[in-house]
Amino acid sequence: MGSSERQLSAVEGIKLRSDYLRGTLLRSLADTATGALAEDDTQLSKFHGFYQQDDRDHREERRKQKLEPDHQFMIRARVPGGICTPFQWLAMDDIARRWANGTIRLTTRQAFQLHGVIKRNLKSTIRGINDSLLDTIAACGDVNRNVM
Amino acid sequence: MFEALKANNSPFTELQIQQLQTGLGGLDAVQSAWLSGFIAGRLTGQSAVLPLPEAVAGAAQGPDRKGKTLHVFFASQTGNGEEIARELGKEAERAGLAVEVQSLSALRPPVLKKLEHAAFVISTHGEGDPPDDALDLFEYLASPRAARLEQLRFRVLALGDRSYSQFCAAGRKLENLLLAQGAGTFAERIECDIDFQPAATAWTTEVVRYGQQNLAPEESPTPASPLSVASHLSVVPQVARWNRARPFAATVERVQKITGLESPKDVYHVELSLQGSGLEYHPGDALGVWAPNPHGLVDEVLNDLHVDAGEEITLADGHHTAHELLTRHRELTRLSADTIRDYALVAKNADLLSHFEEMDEADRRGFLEQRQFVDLVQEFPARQGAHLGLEDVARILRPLAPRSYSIASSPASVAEEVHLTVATLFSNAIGTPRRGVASDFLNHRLQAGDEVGVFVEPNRRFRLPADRKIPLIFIGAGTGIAPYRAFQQQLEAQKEAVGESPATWLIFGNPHLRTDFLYQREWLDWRQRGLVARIDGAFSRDQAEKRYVQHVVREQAERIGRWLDKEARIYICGSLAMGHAVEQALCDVLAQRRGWSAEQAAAGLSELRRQGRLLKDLY
Repeated sequence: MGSSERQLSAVEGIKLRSDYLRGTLLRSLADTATGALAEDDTQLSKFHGFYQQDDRDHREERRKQKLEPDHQFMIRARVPGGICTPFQWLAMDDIARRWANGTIRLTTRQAFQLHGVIKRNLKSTIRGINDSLLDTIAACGDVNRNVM
Repeated sequence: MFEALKANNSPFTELQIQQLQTGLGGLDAVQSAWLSGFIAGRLTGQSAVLPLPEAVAGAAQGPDRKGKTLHVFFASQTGNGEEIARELGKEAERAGLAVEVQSLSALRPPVLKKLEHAAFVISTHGEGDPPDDALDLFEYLASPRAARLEQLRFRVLALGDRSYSQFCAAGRKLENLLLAQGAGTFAERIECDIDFQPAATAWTTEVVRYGQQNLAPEESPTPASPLSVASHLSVVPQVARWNRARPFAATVERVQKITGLESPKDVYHVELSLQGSGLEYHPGDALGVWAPNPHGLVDEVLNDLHVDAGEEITLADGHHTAHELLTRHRELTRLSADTIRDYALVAKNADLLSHFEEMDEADRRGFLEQRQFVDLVQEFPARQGAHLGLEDVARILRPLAPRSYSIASSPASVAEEVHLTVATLFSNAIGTPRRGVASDFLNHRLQAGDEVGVFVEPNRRFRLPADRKIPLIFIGAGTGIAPYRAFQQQLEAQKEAVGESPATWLIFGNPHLRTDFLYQREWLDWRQRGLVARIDGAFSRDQAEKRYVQHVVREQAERIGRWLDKEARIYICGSLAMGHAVEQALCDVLAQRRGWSAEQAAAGLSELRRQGRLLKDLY
């Protein structure tokens, strides 16, 4: 393995050590002191369908205010075959208004994409998506995607 | 005998004092006298082993032997009480009296039983609560085991604030408790409002006069006697060049808002330079800040009262124009019950008087907190035939008082600076938004380069332990985080200097995590570097059910129990209401973990407080 492992990216190391992509996500989500995940967890979260981002427009202002960056998450729901029912559409619409920034993006890979979800709302958002019989598993990260 | 040692009345550091107190506290008077002779002998190169001098042997029975010592006791959270007590000590010594000045916490039952002449300075906090230093004595005096005190003659000076309904209640209670045990007052109790200085000076003079008439001046003692050592310790003047009456003009270096966009709170981080002042403070202390009333508000009040801004008046403290008087010398933003009553009488506004008198305690408090004088004048204007002149205004309004802020920095980290965490105080009684005088001054009127009058208010009841290994739990809400930032800065500096710092745990509450975790980046950085073991946020409005720090305390019962097993100290800082809720939660934790009844848990909590393991800074 020696020489080939050296060429692997850092993310592969995180994945290897992650106990099958669990990492410390539970602890990160329960941490009430920050809106962010632990650094390694930001890589692992992608496999569960969410991406950590922050509002760049307020970075400098918040630095002066001694506040951490305004962390928010993008959540993606993969839609098998690109087909969603009216019920699922309404559910996504409701979730987007309630937990995200009120917008829905449809991607070229036929996924729903929500933005501006804060950490403590991740659980409700993903649960809502699951309840509509869509899911976020393997919607980001180095996994296969829908092909158009 | 080492209780009287303080960092500000001796050449020792806090740490050395603690070591002296632990190492030598158990010595009896003869042993102490021998030791004192031993050390003196070493210093002058004499033989180390000295025979007991006669004066010392005689003094072994203590200064109370002839009942000639005037004992002065103080108990106050802010240090004002101590200042008054030490001033009295100085004056009494100047008058040739034997005097001893001590914290009221040193007045244990055996001392009390022999006490003959005493003066007490005691403040009142919150809703009539006595300061921590008085709690043990109050408990003892109210208990069936309290001794009779017929031999005691005393006088009380009570410090208070007339904007609270239970004005000077602790002073009154102390007097009643002592009277109930047969003690007698040698003169009437004095109750002081926030402008305590004139009354305190008069009281001091009178107590010294009582001492001169009733306590024979002591014969000149030999310098080596413990008696003279004790009185020496009690009256060495504080190094403080700057105080309430003579504040230092600190330069503003930075005023930075630290609550995020859309936050319901308006909190600022204020950095002041103390360069050249020699002002010293410890993490846990407060900073007194003098803030003038804003010109706009002064003009509005003068206009409402039809008083000319340029009209002049001569008062005991000098000659002022009306504008100057209201800007720098009178309280406009904090109302008191007396101001309301006096204003109603002069303004001939019977409605206001009956309205106010008919309220219950809680409504009256709300009425006072939600209103400024200008609101009162506009809501209840002077009636036909009432004449309200500048003299009335000067009399009705209380003198302007400084505001205290828990210091948010450690000198070990910021050198000659002092940092404050200031939340703007808002009220709106009649549809016009108003701001508190000092929070508005610091957050919205001052700019870098401006000057502000400040002085240190020591708070020895809220300090880091000398033992570097004791784990610390910091519980606070809102600006209550300020002293914890000071503590943590100190611990960080200590870690760099000596390589060790205790485990600390912050439990912090405010409305929203996103905008209101004050100094969040610094706390996360400390946690990242292992200087803070744990942080729990209680962000009340981030979920449907309100969540406060006391909820975290209950949820974390087991962990808190484990920390307490490791001798942890618990600090609580923030509003009185939060403090009560946290103490109740801690009682529940103790009851649950130890299988105690509610009464046992309350007693357990009192025991923690007595041991100095539960420390509070509530306002």
